[in-house]
Amino acid sequence: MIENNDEKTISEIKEGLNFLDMKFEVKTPDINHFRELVSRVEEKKKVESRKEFFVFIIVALTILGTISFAYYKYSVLFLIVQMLSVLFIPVGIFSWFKRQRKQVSE
Amino acid sequence: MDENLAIKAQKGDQEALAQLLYSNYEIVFKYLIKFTFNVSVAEELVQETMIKAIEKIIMFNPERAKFSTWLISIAQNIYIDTLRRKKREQKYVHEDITIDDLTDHQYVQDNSINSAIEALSHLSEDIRLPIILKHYYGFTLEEIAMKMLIPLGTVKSRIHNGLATVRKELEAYDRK
Repeated sequence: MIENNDEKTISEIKEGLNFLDMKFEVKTPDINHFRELVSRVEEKKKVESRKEFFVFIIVALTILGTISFAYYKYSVLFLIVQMLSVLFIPVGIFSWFKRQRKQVSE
Repeated sequence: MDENLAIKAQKGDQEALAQLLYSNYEIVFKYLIKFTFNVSVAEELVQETMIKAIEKIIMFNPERAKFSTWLISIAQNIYIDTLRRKKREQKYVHEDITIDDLTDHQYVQDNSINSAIEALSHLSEDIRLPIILKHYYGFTLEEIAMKMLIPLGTVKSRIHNGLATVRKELEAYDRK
């Protein structure tokens, strides 16, 4: 239960913060600052997504190449890889999903 | 108005996004200055908030919240992360951030800054934050604990001790 003294302190804090809200003059930067910021961040996003796409292609080609090679040269190895994939892909997806859920709830 | 601009921004209209951030700058800044009591820190945090908003604009849902509310929640998370990082890196030295930082600044023209503000500014940031969230913005103790990732008991004790400190300072001012 809040004591009377606390109530007084809280109301003084509220008054003070309201005062700060009203009296404090904010110097908002020029609109051009925001235009530059947006274009800079968008450019960075594009570069990053291009980089991610490039990495994805490299990884995909490497996996595809390895699997094709294994299929033609080492059929047994190919089957082992297939079985491991069947086991590990669902586990990977499950742990990724769990991690995402944890992040969202945080 | 903001929501229309946000929809345009989500479709890739950079001008709409810039307008949106420009019109909400003051709201975010005023929100952060109440926690930081430091103009340059608040400016840095607003800048970080704006960058995060540009990166995540696609995730804004106008049906769930106003754009300004969304921006403020980003600002709040960034501020809490900054506090946590400072603590983890143990670089945090309790700077005596007094209201001088604000009054010395050209933005504030009124010298009659309330004594409660001065008393609040003497608190450390991790004590000031739950007090303002609880008693100014009306968050529940559970919500604050979740936001700050600290136990409920810690939130309660920080608010209790923080209020006691502010009260003592206010009483000292009254006696002067």
